[in-house]
Amino acid sequence: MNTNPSPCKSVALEEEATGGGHKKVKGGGAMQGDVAIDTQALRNNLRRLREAKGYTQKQVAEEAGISLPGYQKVESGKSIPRRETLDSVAEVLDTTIPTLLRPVEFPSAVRFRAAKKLRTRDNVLARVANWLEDFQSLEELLGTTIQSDLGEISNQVSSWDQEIDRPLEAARLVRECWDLSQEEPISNICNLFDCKGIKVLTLPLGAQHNGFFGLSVNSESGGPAIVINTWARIPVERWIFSAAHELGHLVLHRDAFDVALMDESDWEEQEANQFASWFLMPEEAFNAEWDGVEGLSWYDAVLAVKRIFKVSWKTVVRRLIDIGKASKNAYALFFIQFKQRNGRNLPGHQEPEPISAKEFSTVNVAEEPEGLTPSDFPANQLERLVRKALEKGRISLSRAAAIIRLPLGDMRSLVRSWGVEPA
Amino acid sequence: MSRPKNPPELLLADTMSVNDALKSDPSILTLIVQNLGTTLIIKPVYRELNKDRTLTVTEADCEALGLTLMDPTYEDDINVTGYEPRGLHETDLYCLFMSKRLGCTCITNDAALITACEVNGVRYMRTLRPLVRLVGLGVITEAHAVRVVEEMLANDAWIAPKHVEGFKRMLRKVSGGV
Repeated sequence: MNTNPSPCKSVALEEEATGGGHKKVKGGGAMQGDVAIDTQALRNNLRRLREAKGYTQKQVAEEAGISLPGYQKVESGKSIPRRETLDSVAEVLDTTIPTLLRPVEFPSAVRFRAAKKLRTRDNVLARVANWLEDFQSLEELLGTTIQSDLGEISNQVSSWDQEIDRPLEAARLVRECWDLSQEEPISNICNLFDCKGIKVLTLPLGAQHNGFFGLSVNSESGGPAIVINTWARIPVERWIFSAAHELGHLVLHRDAFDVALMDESDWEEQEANQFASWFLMPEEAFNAEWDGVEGLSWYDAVLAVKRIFKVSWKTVVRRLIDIGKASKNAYALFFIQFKQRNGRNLPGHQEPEPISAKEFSTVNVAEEPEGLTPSDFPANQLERLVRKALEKGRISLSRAAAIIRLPLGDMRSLVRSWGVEPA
Repeated sequence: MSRPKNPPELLLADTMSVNDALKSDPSILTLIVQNLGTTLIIKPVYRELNKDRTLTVTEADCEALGLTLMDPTYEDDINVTGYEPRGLHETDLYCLFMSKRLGCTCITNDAALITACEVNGVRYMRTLRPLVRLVGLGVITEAHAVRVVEEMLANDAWIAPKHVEGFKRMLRKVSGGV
């Protein structure tokens, strides 16, 4: 082996010895020199990552400087390229060779329905799988795994008589089990979930993920975990409601966690929405708060109550209609009063910055008057674990940066702001 | 140039070590190459360096500094791929496995990578150690070495005060002080 290569010459010593050829091996792999490559994993990852980037095979081939048939052979698993070729492809796809070679185990016990048309569904699932793996690694390294009691709660709920108002009673039960009174609003849902062993991942997915607000993973696949689309154009109130909605699925629909199922069940969605509403705004608490704002105008009262429970104005109005304290015209009334106060319509679609017509047509996000900010949804469980692991010297700075998805320089600035020093 | 007292080593620097040197006094890297041994910058490290928005380093820069840029092999890729993603990132794993395969001394200040080096029988050197060696060889003065470390600290180096204290103790030792 040449251990003294010429300065700054990119070298691949082993490759020179092994040449560029390969032969097929049993079990979906192929040999590159003396090394067995998992061609199936390579094929799947190449296709998934290329499609997630919206590239055609031709585009990847051109950018990587290889022929289209050459690239097609690689993506179809018929050929293993020389390492330098695969390295170029990895660069085009903004990934690394190990990421291309590592089989992705998609979590199977996932409820991921509102995504039938989602072009990047597999990529979202891969990201979730990766995140769960990182989370689990950190918990194991730190010995800080929190056991969730959702399984027991879900067992209890599933034994209930069908005549019971399941969403209402399940929301009550969860609050009881978690030592939350029926009077108190939830000030920090992320922290609450963290304390109860529910992992929360925020994914700021853009317009192409129209209609995707969240998904959940049950304990069989590394959960309980909740993934929330925190795209900037989705109001924070919706993030919070989606988190409670997914909790509802975890509690009420434990048998509906199957990644292969993609059709929405209106009944299940309705139950999860009702659960979220009762969980965030328990009956007693809501009634007490509504009584407390009686002196305000109806519009101001809605805003005051929505601020207390950190929900959207529509969630408050919906509750008022459900309990007979408002008519079905209440939504229209709110729109009218918003216009009277603000001199403009409350837009059905948010447009804080001009966006293209094409993009606009896919965006379906309501504006939230007196809205919350992202700091009202502080999902930073992973960051906290990373910080602890760094403090104890259990993970490297590069690993920390990769988990939090920050460039190394930014990670170092973050670590400095934490006051953490290398062990 | 002073002759090295020890036989030249093959060194392999991790991202933070190179980053800290480049942001403080890049010429130190050249002195390390000239006096301590061939210093490898593996491609994953090179790429990670360039993801730092405050730093741009080209292959020509590496060449000018005397650094040797090296690609991993498929064997390294497979080793990295098969490793459970626990405390180390892919780039750290490349440093680990390539140091082992090539018989390099890994330069790092990362506790997790140091632990992995110890477990896997890979020689390692803390980031500030080459400076001590250069002072010991009479290549740079003690004051120069201290200036470089101060510059590193000013640039957010991945170095703790306790490492600087250790560095100063070693400096006194090689300089014949108490």
